[in-house]
Amino acid sequence: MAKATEVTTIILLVALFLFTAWAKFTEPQIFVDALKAYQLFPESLIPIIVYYIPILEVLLAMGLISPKFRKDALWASLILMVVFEVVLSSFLLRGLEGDCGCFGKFGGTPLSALVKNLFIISLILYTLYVTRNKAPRNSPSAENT
Amino acid sequence: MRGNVKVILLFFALPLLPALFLQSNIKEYSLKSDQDFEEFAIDLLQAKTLTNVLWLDSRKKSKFEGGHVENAIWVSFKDWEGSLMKIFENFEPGQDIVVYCNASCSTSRNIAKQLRQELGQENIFYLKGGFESWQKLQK
Repeated sequence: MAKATEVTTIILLVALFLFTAWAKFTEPQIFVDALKAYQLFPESLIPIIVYYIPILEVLLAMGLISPKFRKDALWASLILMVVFEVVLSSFLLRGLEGDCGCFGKFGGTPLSALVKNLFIISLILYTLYVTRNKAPRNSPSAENT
Repeated sequence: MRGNVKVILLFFALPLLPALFLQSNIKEYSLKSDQDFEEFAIDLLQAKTLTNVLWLDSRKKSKFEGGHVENAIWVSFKDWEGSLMKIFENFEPGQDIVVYCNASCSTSRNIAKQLRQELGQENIFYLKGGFESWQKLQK
């Protein structure tokens, strides 16, 4: 059960990260517009964030695929998702309207993104919990077992 | 259960370098607010007073195909050369150009700005309120 949950979460996260990264990369202007709508980021930082987020998502997908870095990538994904939740919540609490910017040209409302991220966070937490005693592959403790 | 903090930090630090390198791809004017484009903004009522207009639709191709302003041409930054060709084919001397997209997008004003620079003409505008404002007037 633990293994199945881990594999499902990893496949889901890798697919999600690669898809959202591709969507942002191919239409950076849509992401620029979305970031501006959040009214949280200084103008000078937006061009960096526009590329930083999709590159981070690709890197996390690669980390999740690698058994050696999987646990660290899961933790990093959790942190990223929590940051996304804070930003989305702030957007909604201020009564702003617009695209969440999560899926580039495919669109998506901040509320739907908030719910989707909550689901992802629960999956990551559950996977981290069920694999808590599992040492990463190639580590000394794994080789001794 | 804990991850390796250094590796986690590395995940967040590594993308900074390529992001800093790539940031120049974002055109500076695309970051500006609508107020910075006020000089060539036009609302639908003003656009209606123009007698001879070439409408440019800068929304997604699928949206354009789903309905657009009569005789509008679909343009995109992705195929800028092709878009310019289409504009030249349809443009009549003395014609005003109005670019529109969705109400919340900024592509239309960026295209209007780019066209003003490339064609050296002042009678190129972007439609405030976008396609939605045109739709509302049709109802």
